[in-house]
Amino acid sequence: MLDIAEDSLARIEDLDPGVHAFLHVDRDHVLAQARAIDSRVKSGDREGALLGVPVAIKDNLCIAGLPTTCASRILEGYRPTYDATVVERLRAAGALLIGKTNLDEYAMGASTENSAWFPTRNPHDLKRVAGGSSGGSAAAIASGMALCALGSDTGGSVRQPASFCGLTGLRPTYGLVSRYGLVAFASSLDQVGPLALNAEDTEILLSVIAGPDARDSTCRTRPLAEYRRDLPGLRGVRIGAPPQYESDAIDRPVRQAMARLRAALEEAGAEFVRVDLPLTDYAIPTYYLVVTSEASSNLARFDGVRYGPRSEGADLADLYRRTRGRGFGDEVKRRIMLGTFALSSGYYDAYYKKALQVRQMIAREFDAAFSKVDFILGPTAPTPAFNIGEKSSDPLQLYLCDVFTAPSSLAGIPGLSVPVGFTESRLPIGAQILGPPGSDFRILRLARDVERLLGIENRPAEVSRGA
Amino acid sequence: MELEAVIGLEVHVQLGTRSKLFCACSAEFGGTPNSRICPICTGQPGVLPVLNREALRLAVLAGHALHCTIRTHTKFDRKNYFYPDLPKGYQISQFDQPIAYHGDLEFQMDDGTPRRAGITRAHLEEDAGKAVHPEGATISLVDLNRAGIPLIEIVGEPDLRSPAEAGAYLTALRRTLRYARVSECDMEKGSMRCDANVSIRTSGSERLGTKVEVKNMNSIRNVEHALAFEIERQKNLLLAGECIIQETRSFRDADGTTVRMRVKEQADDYRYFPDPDLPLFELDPSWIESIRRLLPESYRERRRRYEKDLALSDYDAEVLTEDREVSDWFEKVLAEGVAPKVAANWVQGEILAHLNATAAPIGTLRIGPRDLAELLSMVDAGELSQLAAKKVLKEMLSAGGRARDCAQSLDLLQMRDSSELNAIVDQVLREDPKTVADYQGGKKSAINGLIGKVMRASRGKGDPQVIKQLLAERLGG
Amino acid sequence: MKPEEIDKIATLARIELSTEEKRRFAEQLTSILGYFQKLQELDTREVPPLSHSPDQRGPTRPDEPCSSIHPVELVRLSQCHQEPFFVVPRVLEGL
Repeated sequence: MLDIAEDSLARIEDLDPGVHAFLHVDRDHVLAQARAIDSRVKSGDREGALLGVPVAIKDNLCIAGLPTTCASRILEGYRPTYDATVVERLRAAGALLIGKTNLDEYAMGASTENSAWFPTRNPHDLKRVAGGSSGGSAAAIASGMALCALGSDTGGSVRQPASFCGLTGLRPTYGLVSRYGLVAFASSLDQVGPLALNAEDTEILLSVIAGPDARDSTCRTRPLAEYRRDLPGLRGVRIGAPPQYESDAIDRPVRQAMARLRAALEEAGAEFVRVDLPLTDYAIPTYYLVVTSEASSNLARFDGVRYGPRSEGADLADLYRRTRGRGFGDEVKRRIMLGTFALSSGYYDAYYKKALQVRQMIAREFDAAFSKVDFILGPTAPTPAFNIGEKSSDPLQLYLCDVFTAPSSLAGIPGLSVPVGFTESRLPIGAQILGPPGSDFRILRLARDVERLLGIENRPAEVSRGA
Repeated sequence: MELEAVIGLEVHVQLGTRSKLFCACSAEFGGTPNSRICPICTGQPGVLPVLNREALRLAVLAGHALHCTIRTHTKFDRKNYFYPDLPKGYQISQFDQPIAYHGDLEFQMDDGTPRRAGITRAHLEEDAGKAVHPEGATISLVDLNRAGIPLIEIVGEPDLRSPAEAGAYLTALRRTLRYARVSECDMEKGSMRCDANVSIRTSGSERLGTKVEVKNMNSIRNVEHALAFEIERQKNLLLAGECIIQETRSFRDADGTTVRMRVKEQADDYRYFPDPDLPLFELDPSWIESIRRLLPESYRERRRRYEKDLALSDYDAEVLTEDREVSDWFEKVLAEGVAPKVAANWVQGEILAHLNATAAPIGTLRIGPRDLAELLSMVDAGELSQLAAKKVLKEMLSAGGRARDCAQSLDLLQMRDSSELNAIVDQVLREDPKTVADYQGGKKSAINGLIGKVMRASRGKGDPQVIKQLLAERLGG
Repeated sequence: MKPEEIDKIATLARIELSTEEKRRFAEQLTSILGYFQKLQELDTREVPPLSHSPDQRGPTRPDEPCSSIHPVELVRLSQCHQEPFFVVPRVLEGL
């Protein structure tokens, strides 16, 4: 295992100065893990689905004793005293936790440009974003610095970076994976999600981390095995194609890749059915009202009193205002303000409550669609990876990136992004497969079929040097 | 213009659980500061709450004890505000679906007049930690041991009209919850806290006057004093033609006044919303009902039983039901077959007197109800005189031990063997020919002196009745 | 959105903003909230709000106290502490 560890560390040392996927890599910690795995194997214990596999961990997941900053200054230097449940499970499976990856601050963003430190670059084109908010995790895999990774998805933060970096990334059914140890952004939407080069690896990673956890009251209680039954083949599968996912706002190469995919699936026996999702247009305002409201409350604990750096002043009020004013980045402050407003007296009904009602309608719309089809297919994002700095001046522009991923998050249904092609300039394009609650393994099965049909063999990109 | 006071009380009660509401830290009182904390109750990033089943049961139990309707579906909401003793920057509480609502509390004034006050609602919430402010320092110290302890907040209807009513209400509430074994309700330890809302209006009016909130009263007496002062203050203002300002005031123990607390910078907007970390809780109606059936006899029911069924006096019934622990102890004595009146006299006169001397709780006694019962059966059987029994009990209370053993070691067992007693009687008669002559000469009361002498000579072990009989036989008449 | 409203929200959220930030946020929040008005187009009168998965029910745990880590470690995470306490600037009543 030491070889694997040294190898990974060497690749990181070589490539990360160009990619900026990692926030913290603790060499000693990695080597110590490798030694531990070695002695475990020597003593006869070869159980462990991820024995020696280098896994990158998004820096909003707690690893005891290691920095967990959520890419924010307000948590600079913070080291949790406990492991997230998913981290515990990875350790039990023998994984090599290779480092903490970069993200948009507190997972708020779609490009990893909101990190307090630096944006992560797309290994396929270093002038472009890796996507967000799990950009670091995606870039780590896409450049070969890790074999797979954990990210988190609230409105698309695993799927969109997967799409931009040519990877497979799953947003699980809400409640399938424990959130204990995931620093909360929007509690009723956050989920830890696996990213990997292909569907099979993604499934293995999911199997390790998913399943009941008594420490998370929102975690589903049925055993994971129950979700793996009745996995169908391609023949006769009904796939929904919503007209709302085929608009002109989508880049041509993306539309072309989707058309090729559809043709391949139909040839293999899948039946495409038109399903209408007219509420798609309302998903972004709904999403942003719900997440900012929950975030405004979830981030209230960051005040410098019990952990994290402090900015003192004349009194206690100053301590709060300055610590938070200086510690939080722009986007985080903006969202806290929005959420505080949406929950405030006099506005709650018109904003927060209204959003929750539309959310109900969106969930019902998906319900109705899944009574007619087994899956819904569309592009993960309207465009491939954009240039660094291109969208960061107008927050609303970035919000609109979530148009295809946010609706499913609101409904709590699972979604997977699978690579389906490239643009002329070799930028990856991803398609999103959505399914009803609990269909995670069926979606992964379909993704494997897609890989086979399109002849996709995913491997890390050649990262250009001297960028 | 007659003015009347309108008072509503908000009482926070710590539930008697072993662990906290949303984490497994110990809920014990005290302890080194920050020794009963964990990532969850200190609001670390990434932690999540999981509800304590026993806290839920106790909340339902409290709801039943207060004759409330219990919800079969209940949820938690976040109350958002910033304070150093509130680690998450919000308190998990219940806003619009409290676990219990629409109840009432019956209580009695000092003169026995019965009253009834409505209970608007009772809901579950987590306690905050504690901030201490060292004298003369520019800092405050925060201890989070208390953060996350389960509370129920009991909101009473504004049905109270005087400080005395408020005091009686709190006394009854305390007893009711102690009897139901929901909480210790100890205001000194902080397991019961009270805030009051007071306003004044013209008698008979339907409208409510401006409400003032009063806080920082740490005993029932202080509540009464604070209310008395506040009512007077408000009445004086109104009579002088001034307005009451809606504010929060703090009771100052030192001079019995209420003072305005530092005016808040911002009106509180708690931005309540359903806590997304805690899904809806569904309570099985049969589970709710089973808790109600297991509700222990309330103190009012017990008091009634003592007066009616056991024929104890009003006073005795009151004393023996005031404290649940004492009352249960008394019940156990009764269960051993001791006559109620006898048991009542001894528990009050001897046991409680002993406890009151050191203000000790009944749990610290070195003997149990069965020991007292045993002692009393010996008296009943004539093995011990009343006086001797009291001496034996004193010994038992200070050194422990069984009644019979103590009686023997103190050599207080009544003389059963007549020959010994006969010998003493003979001796006394021999030594006091004058009194014998008096008696035989017609002064029958002289026998009392002889009885006294025999009793002294037998060191209290002779039964006065038996002694009298023996003397009478000897003296012939 | 006016700067006074931004002030009010910033105070509720305990975030200090520079004058420049207040101006910028006022602009951005106005535009974003304007976009959110879109939701008013939908009739939601009979629709219950969705805040949790509809089929999820809250689990409970047994009342068993247990301590997992050395509590003082948590106190030491604070930048300002006087063991065993966390330290803050003096709290004034009614803050």
